[in-house]
Amino acid sequence: MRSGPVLIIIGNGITGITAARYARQHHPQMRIRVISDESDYFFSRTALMYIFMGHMRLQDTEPYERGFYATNGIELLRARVVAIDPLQRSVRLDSNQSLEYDYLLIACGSRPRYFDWPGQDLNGVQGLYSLSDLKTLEDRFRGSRMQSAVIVGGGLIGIEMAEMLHSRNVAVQMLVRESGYWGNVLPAAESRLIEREIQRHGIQLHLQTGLQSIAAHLEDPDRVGAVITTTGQRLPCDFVGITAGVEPRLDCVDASGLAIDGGILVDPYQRTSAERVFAAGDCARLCDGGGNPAAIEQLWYTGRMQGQVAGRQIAALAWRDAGETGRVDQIDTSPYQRGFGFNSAKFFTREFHTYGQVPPEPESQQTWVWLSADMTRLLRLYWQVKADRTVLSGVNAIGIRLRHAVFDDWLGAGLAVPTVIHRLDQAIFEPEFGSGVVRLIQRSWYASRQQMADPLTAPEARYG
Amino acid sequence: MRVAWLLLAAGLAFLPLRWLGWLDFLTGWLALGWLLVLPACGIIWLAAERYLNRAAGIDNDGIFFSGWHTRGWSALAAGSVLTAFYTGLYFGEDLVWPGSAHSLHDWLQAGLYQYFDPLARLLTGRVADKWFVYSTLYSYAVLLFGVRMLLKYRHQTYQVWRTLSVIFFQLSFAWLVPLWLQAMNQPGYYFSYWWPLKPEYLYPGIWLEWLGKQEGGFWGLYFLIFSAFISLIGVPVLTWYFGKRWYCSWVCGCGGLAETMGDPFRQLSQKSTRAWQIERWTIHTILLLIIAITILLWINSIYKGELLGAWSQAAARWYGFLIVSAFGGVIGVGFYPWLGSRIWCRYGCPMAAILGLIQRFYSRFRITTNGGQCISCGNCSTYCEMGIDVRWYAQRGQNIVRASCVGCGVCAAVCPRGVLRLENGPLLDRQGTEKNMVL
Repeated sequence: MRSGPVLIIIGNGITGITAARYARQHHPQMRIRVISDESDYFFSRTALMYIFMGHMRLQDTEPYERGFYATNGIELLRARVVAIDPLQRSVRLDSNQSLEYDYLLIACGSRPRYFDWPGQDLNGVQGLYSLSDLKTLEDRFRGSRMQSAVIVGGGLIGIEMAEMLHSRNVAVQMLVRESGYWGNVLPAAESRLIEREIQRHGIQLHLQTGLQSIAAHLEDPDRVGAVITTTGQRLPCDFVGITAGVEPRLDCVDASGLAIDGGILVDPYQRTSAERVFAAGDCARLCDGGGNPAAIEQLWYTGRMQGQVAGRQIAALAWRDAGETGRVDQIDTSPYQRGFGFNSAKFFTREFHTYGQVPPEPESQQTWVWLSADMTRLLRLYWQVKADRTVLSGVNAIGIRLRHAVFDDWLGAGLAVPTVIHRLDQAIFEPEFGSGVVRLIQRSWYASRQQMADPLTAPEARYG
Repeated sequence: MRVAWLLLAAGLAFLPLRWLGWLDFLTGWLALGWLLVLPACGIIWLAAERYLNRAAGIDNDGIFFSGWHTRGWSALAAGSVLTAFYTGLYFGEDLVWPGSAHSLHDWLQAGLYQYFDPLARLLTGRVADKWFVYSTLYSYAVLLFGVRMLLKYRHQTYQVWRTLSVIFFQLSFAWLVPLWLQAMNQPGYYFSYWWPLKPEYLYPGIWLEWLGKQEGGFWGLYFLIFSAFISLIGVPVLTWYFGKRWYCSWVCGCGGLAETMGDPFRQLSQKSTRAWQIERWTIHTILLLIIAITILLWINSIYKGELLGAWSQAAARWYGFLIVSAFGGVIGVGFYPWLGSRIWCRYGCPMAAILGLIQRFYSRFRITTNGGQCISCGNCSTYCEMGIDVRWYAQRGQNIVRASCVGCGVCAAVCPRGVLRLENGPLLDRQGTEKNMVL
């Protein structure tokens, strides 16, 4: 047990554990205690679907060996935090035990969003976020065969759940509120490609349809029997997956006095409104330097990045409080920088990469999309026109692996789009013996550019 | 689907039924056909049913729910049979039933080897001996399970080419070419195995044999020059450019069986840091051992046996017994369903040790990780047959440059976010610490 100041971290996900690692790296004496009510060890939530499908066991999804924590003096505690007291600098557990801290990081993540649908509390209705959600789902299959399911919400978790149930031969239907799959994020062409993929797996897609209510089973009033959609359809089913988004988990900060607006408000240094209390990840809402809250980012990557910032900030603060300014100088204390933004996903067999700004309906940006003949691959470029030049601002790719570092460089350099096309080979990350997709894209670009009259969307005279 | 299982069962039942004295009417080619073709049809049919229905992507569904893939009774039974077969093959002459005049070898001769006579006569003009049976069964396994690999990984071009390559090298240089050479009264030389994996190819004893052969002395000299060239020049150069993978997962027969018949067991590789520590000790110890033995043999030969006499011969014999036969053969293959497919390759093979040192310290090969895109799911580490914690590097944004990586490419294939790519590139910063987008 380390003998320095005590850091308590609520939550052992990517955010909490990353913060623990960075705090430990910069402060060897700090006593770091990580509390989780979900699991004994940090596991990759993104891999829950693979546990269900039998690709891996829970232990295989743990990013660090179980001995890692003891070796690095990171104490793990399995308990639920019910309240925090920033004035007393303590947290209270569900066992009524109180733990004191010198520094606190709240990284308790999010939970599935429910919208007060009638019947949402019936058996057989659940979201998919936590390990206990997975267990509930697995238990459901132990009892009896699941014939049919309805998944509410067309986003990343929804399609993962569809894939999971499909692997167990369940007849799946999906309700998507938008006019296209993941329509609040993806442009139409991308949505169409994924819809095609969904339907190819025999899953029925109901677009522009939401959930109205959930009806009980005729023979068992505690169990789900059917779903009533906003278009008035009645879809019999024995399972309803609620995947209409996630919201920050705030149950432990209810009476804490912390500034909350959707999520726990933090400045770019992950500091909350209370002294020595930090928050990061899904449960936090970043504000810019002027205190204006931004949208909550609920990604694995942003959780990791915020955890890095939090860990470094807490270590630096601890050194500063101890008067060790020399140690503070050794730490990179820069604030959270989102950078150009990036994300990836997998829709059944279609991999998705995205870099930069990729709005579904480009307003101040121009866009060009390439679609393969068999509609399995897609590349979309976004650019802005600045001072008679095209400046790359974003890219979407489906079925084509792209190099993160290269696009990060190109976005930073504001590379002209024709140059991007010309150098596309450098940005491809496809396996060796690949498919020659670059030639197809380039040919298509040159052909389409010849038809454009506007010089700002035509190929530039020189390739830089 | 049931027909497929029936075919497989019927094929596997052939030997037990013949041992009981039934199915006497099946002789010659018919018997061999039943023994080999029926199970092959069954297995390929099952693989086709399982994998062809699936759209693009690799189907690993249900692996951890299946006893076959996770040391269940069926896996342990298969492992026992394999281990028994290898034991019988290498040590059969020495093992005798108590109170019987027959050895295990005699029993295998009557109960298994003789069915291969028609094929042996066709290919070599002689009856089947145990080595003929072994190399034929080995090639049969690589071909059959290679087809399964092609079905499972058919959407990954790298996997397809690699599998075709190991099938080709096994069938040609590791089966038919040596048989053809033997049929021409030459030594049965394996062009795809070299010192130190086949240590005798750089032993003075065998060189003298090759040089001494009267008929076709050209072949003997050719083998000698080829062995020396490939071990001393070819291997380092190819490994510098491609890494270890050009041999270990594209050419080597041990690797060929591991990648095909061993694929269902790849997730059983030991993943702990402890195993990594052990592997480095054992593999380099064995390498030093074979280097020492080779040097000793040469010294012994030059000094006409005065200095080290019987020592070097005994050491070479014990090495052959313990390392090549017991470790490489019996444990290396027999233990597939228990310990994974690459036990020999990871903990023992001195060839792998040399290739690994070159790959780790001076080669253009690396597995590049894609910036910050890793989601730490763990598929890569789970399916790495060498027990490398690929995820550890990927989640830190570092490239993978490890001595034990055989470049099978399955980690890159199962990654759901396209984070990994096997590639050859400039030596400078191939570990990817300069442009790190995570740390």
